Amino acid sequence: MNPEEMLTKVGRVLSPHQVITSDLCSACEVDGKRPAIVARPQDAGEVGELLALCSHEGWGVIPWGSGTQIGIGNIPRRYDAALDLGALDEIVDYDAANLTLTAGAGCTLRSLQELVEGKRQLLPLDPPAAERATLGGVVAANAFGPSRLRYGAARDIVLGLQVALTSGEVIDVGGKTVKNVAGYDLTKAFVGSYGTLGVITRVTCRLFPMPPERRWVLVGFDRAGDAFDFVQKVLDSVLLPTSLDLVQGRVVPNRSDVSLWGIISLEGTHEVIQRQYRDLGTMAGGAHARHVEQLADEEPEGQQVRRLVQDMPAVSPEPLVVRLYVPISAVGSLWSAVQHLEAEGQASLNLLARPGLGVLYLMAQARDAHLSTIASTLQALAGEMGGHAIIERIPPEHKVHLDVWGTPRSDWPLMQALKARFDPAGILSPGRFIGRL
Amino acid sequence: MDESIIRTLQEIVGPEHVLTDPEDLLLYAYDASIHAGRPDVVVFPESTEQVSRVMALAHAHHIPVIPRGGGTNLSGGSVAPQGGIVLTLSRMTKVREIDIPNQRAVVEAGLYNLTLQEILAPYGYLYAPDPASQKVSTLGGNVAENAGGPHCLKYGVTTNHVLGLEVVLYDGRVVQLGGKAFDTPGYDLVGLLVGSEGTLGVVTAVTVRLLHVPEAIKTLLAIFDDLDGASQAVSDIIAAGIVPATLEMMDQLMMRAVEEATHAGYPTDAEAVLIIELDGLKDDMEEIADRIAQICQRNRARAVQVARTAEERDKLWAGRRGAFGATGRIKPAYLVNDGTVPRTALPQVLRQVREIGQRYGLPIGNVFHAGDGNLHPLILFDPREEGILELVERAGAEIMRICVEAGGTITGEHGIGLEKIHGMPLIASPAAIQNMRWVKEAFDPVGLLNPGKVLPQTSEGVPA
Amino acid sequence: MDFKELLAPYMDEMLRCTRCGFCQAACPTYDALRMESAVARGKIQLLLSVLNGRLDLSPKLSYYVYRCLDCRLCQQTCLSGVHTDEIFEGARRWLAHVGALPAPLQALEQRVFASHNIAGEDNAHRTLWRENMNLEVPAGQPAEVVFFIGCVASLYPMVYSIPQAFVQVLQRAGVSFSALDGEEWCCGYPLISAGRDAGPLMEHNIAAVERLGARWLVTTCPSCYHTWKTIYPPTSFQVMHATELLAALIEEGRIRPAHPPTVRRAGDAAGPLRVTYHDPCDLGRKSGVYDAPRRVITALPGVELVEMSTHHALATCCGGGGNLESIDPELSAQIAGRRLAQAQRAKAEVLVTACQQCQRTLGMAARRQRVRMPVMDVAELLLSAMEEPA
Ligand SMILES: Cc1cc2nc3c(=O)[nH]c(=O)nc-3n(C[C@H](O)[C@H](O)[C@H](O)COP(=O)(O)OP(=O)(O)OC[C@H]3O[C@@H](n4cnc5c(N)ncnc54)[C@H](O)[C@@H]3O)c2cc1C
Repeated sequence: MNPEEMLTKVGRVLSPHQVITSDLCSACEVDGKRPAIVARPQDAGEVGELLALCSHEGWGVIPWGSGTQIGIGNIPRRYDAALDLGALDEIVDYDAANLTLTAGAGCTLRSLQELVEGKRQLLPLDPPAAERATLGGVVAANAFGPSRLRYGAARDIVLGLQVALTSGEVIDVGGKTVKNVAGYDLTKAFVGSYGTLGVITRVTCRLFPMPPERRWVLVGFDRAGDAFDFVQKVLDSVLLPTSLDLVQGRVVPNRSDVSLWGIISLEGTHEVIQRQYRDLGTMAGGAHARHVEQLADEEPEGQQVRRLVQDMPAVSPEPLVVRLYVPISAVGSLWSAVQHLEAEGQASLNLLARPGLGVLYLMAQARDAHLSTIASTLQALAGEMGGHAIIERIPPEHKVHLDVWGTPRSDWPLMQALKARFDPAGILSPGRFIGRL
Repeated sequence: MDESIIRTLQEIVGPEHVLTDPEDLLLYAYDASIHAGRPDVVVFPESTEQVSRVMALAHAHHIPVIPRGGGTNLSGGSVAPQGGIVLTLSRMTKVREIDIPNQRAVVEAGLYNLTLQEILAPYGYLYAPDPASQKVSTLGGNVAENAGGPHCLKYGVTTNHVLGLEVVLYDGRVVQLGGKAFDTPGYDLVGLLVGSEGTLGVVTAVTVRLLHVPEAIKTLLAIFDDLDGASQAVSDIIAAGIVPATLEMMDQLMMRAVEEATHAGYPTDAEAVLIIELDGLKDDMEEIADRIAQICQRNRARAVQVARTAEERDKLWAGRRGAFGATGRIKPAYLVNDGTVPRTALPQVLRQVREIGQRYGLPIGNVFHAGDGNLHPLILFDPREEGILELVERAGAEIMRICVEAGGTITGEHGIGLEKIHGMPLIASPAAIQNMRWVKEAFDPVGLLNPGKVLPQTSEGVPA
Repeated sequence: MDFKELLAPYMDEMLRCTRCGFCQAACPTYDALRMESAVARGKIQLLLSVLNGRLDLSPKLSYYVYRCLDCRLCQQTCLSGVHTDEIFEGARRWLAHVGALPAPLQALEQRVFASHNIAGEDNAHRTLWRENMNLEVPAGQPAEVVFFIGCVASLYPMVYSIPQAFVQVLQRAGVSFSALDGEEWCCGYPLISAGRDAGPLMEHNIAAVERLGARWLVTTCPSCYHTWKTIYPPTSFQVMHATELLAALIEEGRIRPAHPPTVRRAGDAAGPLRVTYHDPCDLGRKSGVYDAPRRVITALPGVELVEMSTHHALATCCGGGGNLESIDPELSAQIAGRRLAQAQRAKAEVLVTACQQCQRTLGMAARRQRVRMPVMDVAELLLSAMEEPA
């Protein structure tokens, strides 16, 4: 695509300072592909107009928040324009009394969280890289973090959306009430659609009261089997942890040398937290734990632990990051099944499990030639265990023969039919979604 | 309907499971709403395979299909205004799997919600959505309506607890959406199917998430001499950062009917009560209950009582669940709106509802999920009165409108069905409705599944 | 004439049904069939359609109305308090009037009129139940108590054991009583529940009892009891159910249960005998007698009374109620099987009831399903716990 020509056409929609071309576009590379222009619309109307233009011209366009999740997806079939949504950063309606917040897609999660924390409320989305992540991006990726165990994911927290469609129209879906069954739940269609059906320009979320106290509990184990025994006991109990993660290795600074850490967060009143801490201690003891301690969330060490479990998949340096999902009781066997990769010397691994969610993050360092084999092995393994695996990070050349979402299933024709109607010209993140939609 | 089609249906599900006599067709022409529509034939498949063959047949002959569970929906969702096949899932009640280690259950769509709860109880687990109709509403119907219930305030509605669906598509294809694990790659088709009111596919089996039964439960009954005080208390409790498991309101008119029906112990001389249930860990329950009692008292509660025994609690809930059914003691028919508003708007909207009732001279009772802001004003009437239906529908339309004006929506859990189709333009722009139509086309390109429901015709306007 | 005016008075009552469908959860017939035609909400809609001129009388309509246990669980649980009993009684009267009685009920009606019993046998055979006992049972003699045995217990060998046990208990307690033998006619209940009048039968029976100068009429049959008590005109004597008499005799000390009931138990059974009690609809829900049978059972040594998941006013029907067995025996049997399963889930060793019809349906279900759970009458259980007379 000739950037000059594009610029002229885009110029009918945006003013020149809203458009970037040439080398500066390198910041918006996806899988090694660089767009001809980066457009920075100011409002949903402009987003719509741009989408209509792209549809008309057949330009491939990828919406950008801050790029924290942009690596997830297949190689774009076509990438002419990046849509930088950072300017959509308006707080539209913070209704503290009703515990709802409506904000532009470009707001960073962190800024919104600071806003609501001022009123002792909580926007409980804690995906990796939350300082930079934008609300729109998190919602488009249905990104989540450890506290999904208690609060659910974006899918559960988002009440309504404003979306710009490829036709140029801007629609509101959902609303600001928790219950709403007026027509199809289009919110669900857009949440987790990775920018392939429409561009989310505004989000209404439900908020929660800030718990009076938050604490972290660290439980150290020598053996994975013990750790998973402990986890099973916790999950099958009346306790209500906010999060429950297992991490491998010496990741918690200044602590004894154990091979696995259970990291649990507790919320509520002081009595409730201490009661749960006692029970966890008993369960940990029964599972041969070597170490049990609690940390206040606001202490530096508490914050360190929070960042560790929240950000690990984003900050770990390995070239391969895979998010595996299985039924929750299978996480333990999945954990040991993946170890053979290391045992056979194929890769060195870093693992993070969220057993209550049935999720395992695997971060692998391996010979480059092996990466795609390992990735497909993991997809097959998760499939055999009743789940699936998403390759979050892998060098682009490996994506040529690999669908990072796994093999499409019997429901894929329905997805294709949806995509064909919402994006008939096939311009939104083309080729990036499952089955290269 | 063509004899040969009937014969084929009989071959598929067995002759005794195909009904065509006028008596039988009348029996499937109604649901719990005030709408009616007679099908041409009623079939009762017993397996997914049979459903699939029925759908393929209907597709080949272009016959509308209306899925039906318990027929308890309140929006005309399972009636057959255009005739066709009513496909009743009442025989598909198998429990395919209770998978406690994975905290999942896989059950067929015709199973009653309460039956599932009874099966789970011995394991110490529950399925959170608990519509008041749980004794007689099916999981398929709950999925199709995205049913809520008293405990959904804390736990979320059906869509938050359904992870997988087995669905038969318009042409008989069987697809599995989602499953036991979270986040199946691709679009959230489970999320779209939930709440689609039988217009996108026939749900034959449901994979649900199970929760551990809470350690402790405490049920409070707060009694108010004025409605404003009760609704303000709802708003204040939430604003105080408390999320009870339930926060239900019932007004005097409804309490009178309920007391007559169930002798649950509701104070019929009070203007309103709140049924507030706390659940979770026992350690701070007392303290939270005290805080709630204080908030109620600040809002002029006459008394805040605690259910002392499980039996007392069960009675209160039996009364609450029976409320709609008990309205027959006041008037033979009702139209129930179920608009949802932001909680802070409750006092004002309830006043407006009362004013509408007065203006139309129609008694309106309220029994609803107050914590969610999900109103249920029941407009009570006698259908034999000349011209009354039109009046009732106009009052209903006004209530929908005030809910939307207050920042809410026209239905929180009962669905659009036939009943609220005229209200759709109040909350969805033509473009948004067009979007919904795309979804419909993607799933049901020929438009055979529950036609005439949910989506207004292109020309559909808002009634004056 | 379509006699629809017989239905019209129930219009208001029918309109009270809000179609909430909660009766689906209560109705044993619906539970087995899972079709709207089985359940009160559906039948009411059909009858309303008749009144509104949208539906014509048909054999199917009649079949649906009569395919009913008349167990009144729908009424018991109806939140709007719809009197389904009155509505369906009215409907049956209408149907009987226009000659739309289903064939099996027509045949039954003819039998009762011709032979004065439901079996169509020579009414003199009413003595068969006692003839193979080596006990003198007074009959046709003046007595304080008249024992009204009922057609089923007199003529169906499977349940002879009920009157046999009952009279033995009475004799050991020294109660002066008499039977009516061939002078006992069907109480009329089958006719009444089919929508007919039973005037001549009632008149005959009242006269027969009065002739003996009785102060009490006692029945082991809950349907006879219910009919005598609530449908018969006032009589000079009082009506009581056998279990009420037995409970009173125990409480007055005239009967002393001596040892645990002698029933077959599983080899590994230990501890008290787990007995569950099935409330007959005609005795419990329709007549309000719940306690007397339970008082008898709990007065027995070594017995633990366990309740099934439904009991008292919410007890599920055994499947033998109303006219269902005549109309659809298979369905009746299926429902009995479900009730039996409730007893099994309650881990009962013995299923006790106080009705020959319940005992028949449940006993047959046990046999069919190869369930080794004795099904017996309260009187039988009591007798088995009494000392043999010297
Ligand atoms: C007294 C009373 C209280 C109620 N309380 C509540 C409450 O607290 N919360 C609440 O949310 N609702 C409530 N309802 C409404 C109603 O019970 C719910 O909407 C329920 O989910 C309907 O389930 P059902 O099995 O009766 O479905 P039906 O009424 O038979 O069908 C409802 C809709 O679902 C479709 N459908 C049914 N089965 C399937 C299937 N297997 N696949 C695809 N589509 C299907 C039908 O086509 C129809 O559109 C109440 C109703 C009554 C009468």
